[in-house]
Formats: sequence, C-alpha cells, structure tokens
Amino acid sequence: MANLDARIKEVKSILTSQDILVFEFVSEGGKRFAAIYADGVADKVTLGELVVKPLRAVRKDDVIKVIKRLLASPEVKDGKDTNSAVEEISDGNAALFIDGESEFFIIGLKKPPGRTVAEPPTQIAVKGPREGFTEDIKTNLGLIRKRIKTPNLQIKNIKVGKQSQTNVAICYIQGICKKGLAEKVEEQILNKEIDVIPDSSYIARFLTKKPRSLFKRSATSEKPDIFCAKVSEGRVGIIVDGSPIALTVPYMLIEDFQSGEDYYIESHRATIIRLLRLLSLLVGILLPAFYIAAQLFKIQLIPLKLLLKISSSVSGIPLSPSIEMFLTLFVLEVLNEASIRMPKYVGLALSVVGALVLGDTAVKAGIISTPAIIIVAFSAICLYTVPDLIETTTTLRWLYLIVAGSVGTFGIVLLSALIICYLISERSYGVPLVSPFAPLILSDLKDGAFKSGIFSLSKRPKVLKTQNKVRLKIK
Amino acid sequence: MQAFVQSTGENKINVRQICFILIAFNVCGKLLLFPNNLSYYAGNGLWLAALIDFAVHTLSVWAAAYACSKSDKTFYQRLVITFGKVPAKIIFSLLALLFFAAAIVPINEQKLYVQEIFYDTIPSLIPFLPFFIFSIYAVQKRFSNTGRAADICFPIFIACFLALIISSFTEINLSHLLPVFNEPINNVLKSSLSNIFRFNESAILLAFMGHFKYKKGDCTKITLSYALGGVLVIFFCILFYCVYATLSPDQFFAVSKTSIFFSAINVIGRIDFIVLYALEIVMVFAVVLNLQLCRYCLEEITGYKNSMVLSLAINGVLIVLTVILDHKFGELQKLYGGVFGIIIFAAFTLLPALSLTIKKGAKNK
Repeated sequence: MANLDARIKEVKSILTSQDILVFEFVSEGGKRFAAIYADGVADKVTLGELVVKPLRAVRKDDVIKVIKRLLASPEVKDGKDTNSAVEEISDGNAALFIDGESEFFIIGLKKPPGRTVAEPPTQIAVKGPREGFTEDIKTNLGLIRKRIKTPNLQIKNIKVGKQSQTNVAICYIQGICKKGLAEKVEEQILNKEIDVIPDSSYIARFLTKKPRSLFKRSATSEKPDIFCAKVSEGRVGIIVDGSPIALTVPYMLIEDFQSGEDYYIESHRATIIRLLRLLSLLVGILLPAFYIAAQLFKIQLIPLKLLLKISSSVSGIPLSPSIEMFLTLFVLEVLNEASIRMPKYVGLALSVVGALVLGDTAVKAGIISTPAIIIVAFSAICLYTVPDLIETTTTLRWLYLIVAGSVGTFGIVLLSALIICYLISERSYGVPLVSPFAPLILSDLKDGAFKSGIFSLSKRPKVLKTQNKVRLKIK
Repeated sequence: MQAFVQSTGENKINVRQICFILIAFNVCGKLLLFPNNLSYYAGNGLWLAALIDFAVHTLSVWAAAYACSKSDKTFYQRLVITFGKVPAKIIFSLLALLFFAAAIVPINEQKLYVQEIFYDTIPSLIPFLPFFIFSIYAVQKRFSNTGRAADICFPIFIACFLALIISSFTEINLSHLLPVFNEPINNVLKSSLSNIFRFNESAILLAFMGHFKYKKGDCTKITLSYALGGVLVIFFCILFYCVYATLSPDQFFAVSKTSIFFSAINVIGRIDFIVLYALEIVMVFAVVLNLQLCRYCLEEITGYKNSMVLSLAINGVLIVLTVILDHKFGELQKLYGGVFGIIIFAAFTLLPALSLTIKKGAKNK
C-alpha cells in the first residue's frame, strides 16, 4: 500500500520545475487521487472531462480494476515505475496516482501548442494536395495514417536526445521495405548521444556516415503525400517531433529533381519540366564559371556579336572578371541572407535597395558590368528550380568559380569529373547516390530524368531491393 | 586464396559496363592524334590502316573475353594456380609496367590537347597539372567505380560524338577517299604499326577477368562492342580525311577540327567547344583507366591494400615523367611508333593468348 503524499513527493523530487503541476482530488466515496502533469503541454480539459469527472463515482473500497474501468480516456496505460512516470509527464502526459495503491496510470493528455495543418512554404504545388506537416509528431503521424491505411504500416517510436528526449517515429511498410533497413536506421540514430534534437536536420546528419559531405544522404519533405509515396516505394521515413520536415532513406540524387506535381500532371509535361530542372541546375552552377573562364582563358567561347557587347560593357571596369564575378556573387549571397533574416517589412525595402540602388548604381558607377549582374541573377534563379539542393549547388557554384578563375575551362572539366567520380562511389543505405544512372538500371529510368505514365511505373524502383516488387496490377 | 575472393567482391564490374568501356573509352582514346598520325603514312588509306589495327586487336579482345568465359577466377589467381606465386608476380609486374607505359602517351596527348583547346594562348605545363589531382583520386577507386563511371560517360560520349559527327557533315567530300587503294600497302602497314601501341583493350579485359559474372553470350557482346568502337573510330577517320584530305597529317587533335566549319558556329559562336569539353570528361576517365589497372596489378603483386598510397606513387612518377617529357612529345611518339610500341602491343596481345592456355582453377563457391 503506497501513501499518495509519498508518491507525489517522490515524483516532485525529480521533476522539481514549477510548471509540473499536481492536481489532487477526492471522489464522492472519499478516495484520494493525484494527477501530475506538465503545464502547457497536457490538455487540462481532457483531464477534467475524461479522468476527474468519471472518478467522482469511485468508492473508498473500490479496487484498481474498477477504477481503471471508470476512466473515460481512450489512452490509459499502466505505469511501470517512478522513472517511467517522470518520462511520460515530461512528454506531456499525466500520471494518475491513487491513495493506497502501489499501481498508477498514465493518461494520454499530450496536446502541445502548435499550428494547424497548412500548405508548406517550401513545397508549393499548383496541382495536388496542399497539406503539409506541422511541428507536432502526432498530427504528422495522423496525416500519414490518413493516406496509408494498411495494417502493414509500421511506426516505431524512439526517443533521442539526452535532455530533449525528442520523439522520433520510424515509419515503413512491412512486406515492402527491404528487410533490416528500418532496424539499420534505428541503430544509426540510437548509437549517437546528443543533448537536444531541435530539428530533423540533426537526425539527417546521424543517418549518414559522412556528415561533412557536400551531398546529403537523406531526402526531405514537408508534404505527407510525397512522404507516403516514398514510404510506399519501400523507403523508410523518419518523423521528428518539433520539425515539419520529414526524412526518407535511402536517398538518390534524382529525388530532388522530382516534384510532387510531376505525378499529378501529364507525363510528357513532367518529363520536359524535369529536363528543364536539370538544365537549369547545370546553367546555374556553371554559367558564372564559364563566363569568367571565357573572358580570361578562351574568348572564342563567346559569339562575336555578344563578345562585342560584353567588351563594351566591361571596358572601364576596374576589376578583373573573376573579382567582379566574386563581388557580384558575394552581394547576391549577402542580399539573400539578409532578406531571409530581416523582418518582412524591412525585407521589402531591402530588396528595393539591393536590386535598384546597389545594382543600378554599381553599373552606372562602372564598378560592375551589366553582363555580370545578368549572369549572377540568372544563375540564382536557375538554382532555385531545384530548391532542395540549394545548399549544395550554391557551394558548388563558388567552387567552380574559384577553379574557373584559376585554371579556366579545363578546371571546370576536371572539377566536374572529380564530382562525378565522387558521386558514383557514394551510397545511401546501400543505394548508389546517382542511381538509376550509375549503375544504369533501365527500368528505374522511367521515373528518372524522364517521367513515364502511371501504367509504365507498375514496379517499385529496382535499386531499393524491396520485398514486394509490384505496385500496380491491372486486373 | 580467400583474400582474392574477398577483394573481387569489392571490385565488381558488370558486362554492360565493360562494353561501355570498350566503346566510349576506347573511341575517346583514339580521337586526338590517331587519325592524323594514320594519315601521315597512309594518306586516304588511313581507314584501312585503322581497320587492320582494329581487326588484329579484335581477335585479341575475343581471346581475352573467351578466356574470361572459362573460369570465375581472376587472371592473377589463374597465373598463381598454373605457374606458382613468383612467376605470377613477375607476369603481373610486367602487366603493371605495360599499363603504366600505355598511359604515358595518352596523358601527354591530353596535355597538348588541353593546352590547345582550353586556352587562347598555349600556356605552360602548369594548368595541366591539376589533372593529377583528379588522377590521384580516381586511380585509387575500385572497379565498381570504373564501371559506374562508364555508365555515366557512355551517354555523354554518344551525345557528344553524334553532335560532332552531325556538325562535321557540312564540309565532307567523299571523293577525297578515291581511289580507295591509292596508297601502297607498305605505307598502310607502316601506318598501322606505328599506331598499334594504342591498342591495349584485351589487357584491360584480362584485368577485369574474375571481377564480373560471366553469362552465356557475353564473349560475343564484349567482342562486338569492341568492334563497334572500332567502326566508330574508322568512321571518324574517314570523316576527318573527307574534311581535310591531304592536309590531314597537319591537323592535330582531329576531334576539335572537324566541326569548325559548321554553319551554326558563325551565328552562335564555338558551341562545339561545349561538346568538346563534355567529351573531355569522358577522355579524362579513359586516360586514368590504364593507371587504375596499373594500381590494381601492383595491389595484387604486393598485397598492399592502401590504394591511395599506390595511387600517389603511380601519379608521382607520372608527374615527374610529364615534366621531363614536356616539349618532347615528338621523341615520345617516335619511340612508341617504333619498336617499343610493337613490343608493347606484342605483350598486350601475347597475354590474352597466354590466358587461353593457363589453368582454369576450381570454381568459386
């Protein structure tokens, strides 16, 4: 027989923070109860309606089984020990202690403050679903369950972060996902000890053996429809509490060239758009580099009429082509960074100052040439056609610029060969990063650089080595 | 023996990738000075000289591919089983040397090509030296990487080669090839012999032996791929001669010369450079292949598995040689075009023949 006051004291000795509240109440029959919960995270209304109200009817001599039956909450678990009670309270649930009983209950009351489901700002679609993940893991899992109703959908909950104890859900479909992959992902996450997980990007670093690499090893998505499509292809999805960005592994580079909309529009249009993205990315990365390499080392690369125009623009510019390009790119990066960080209203003014005052005046003053500004601006626009790769591509643009300014076009070729050589040897959970191109898998090319119609995509990607290969059967 | 089996596991390549290598890398290695060198002695019979070279070497490639079909052991394992460890090591040392020697001319060719095509004014050796950074990185990579590089390079090669061919069509004059047997056969043979050192694909196959899963019909696929590569080179040689005729021997780096008369160039500039630069990506992979194989042979001989150290050593020697041989390409070509080149070719041809006679060894489980 446990004394209620002693139990409360025991828990409060561990959870000493003032936002841990203890609500003591007595039933009409005289039985004493205490619900301990974290203020602001637990739902007090639910506690009152589904726990306190029904327990009013408890008599003094009612046994624990009768009390449990009276609880109206759908989420009631038996508590194990004080430590588990502490964990659950920190997580937003309530521990219900009963005077004179050694057993206690955990009541699911978690309702952290958060925003409602809205269209994600990073993956806007003209056609297709507009729902996006939120920061609440329960909402996110609900959005997944709404789309994948099979009993084979497995969700494994783990806690990561010594201090934050962040909930991480590993999702996969049993019978489709490659055997052992989910366990491997879990192991990769759990074998790192960290204090706090503020966002899924931390988990993304855990999922790779080369966290310093320029190229990521897990795909990100803010949209449940894309996430579910990837999970149903045989990938493992990872949802992190507090982050609206979900992760999926294995990752292939081509995934970032695919957008959700590609699957909702006509396949020929999707193919054109994909090729356009690929071309834009190449132009975005290489154009500034080729521009300075042409000016410095191989003037023949520029057509004569254009060359005459450029030469009239650059004559009188005090800076060398590479310094000019560096400076222009530097200004672009600064403007980009500042416009993201600044408050909305100031940001608007900043873009006017940046575009008109800085750009126009710099050209008029003869510090920077017009072609340099056009090239940098066009390059920036091109890179945003593949927004998920923007961190990598902007870095690559700098690298190419350095190489082009020092070695010229041969440097561009060598750096490209080096990047190809690096990429073809890299893998994400056993899947080559540049598949289905290297190694070449013809059947997977149907959803690679070009997009086939839905009936041609009857099989899951071969490279994922799924247990169930067929995703579409025509009866 | 267990170590061999493990090492081949990490070192896998597949037949499709070998075929791509035999087409893309093979052709790319023969687009720079091969056509104009052939035309130097053979004139409009350059295609005949190329045909002889390819015909002879296709037999050698077939022999190597056939040898691959007989066993799932690597060439080194089979040499050890047949002759014992020491003779196997001696033969593999020779093979390593041959691969190294076979890489010297292409690298120096590349150096000259880069100096001419990538820069307005011929620069010093310095701008070419970053090539060795790539080489050091690529040479230490395994065969699986080589295969994937071939997968990536093949479509680039096809697109670029087609673009160059199409843009060359405007200026061709087929009558330059007439009469067909204008040049004396001696000149054609001399031309063949002086360029035969460029043919080492059968030895590449020997190095890949045991590193790919042989299936029925693969021997034919491999041989036909090589022959197709040969056809493409011969076709390019014909095209080149049809554009430049008797001026061909003086038109160095044929690949960059045939498309300069393309009408679009007058309007939108030297767009052919973009194609040439893309093709250069394939070429650098093709050039380092011999060095990769040299590293592989050294690894087998020494049992030393730190491929980065071996790559650094090979490239270090090559950098020194490139610096020494700067401005001496003529002498180098004379050396390779003479007896030395024939010795290299003979060795590269004898080894596949040898591979047909050595023991197969028991099948790997």
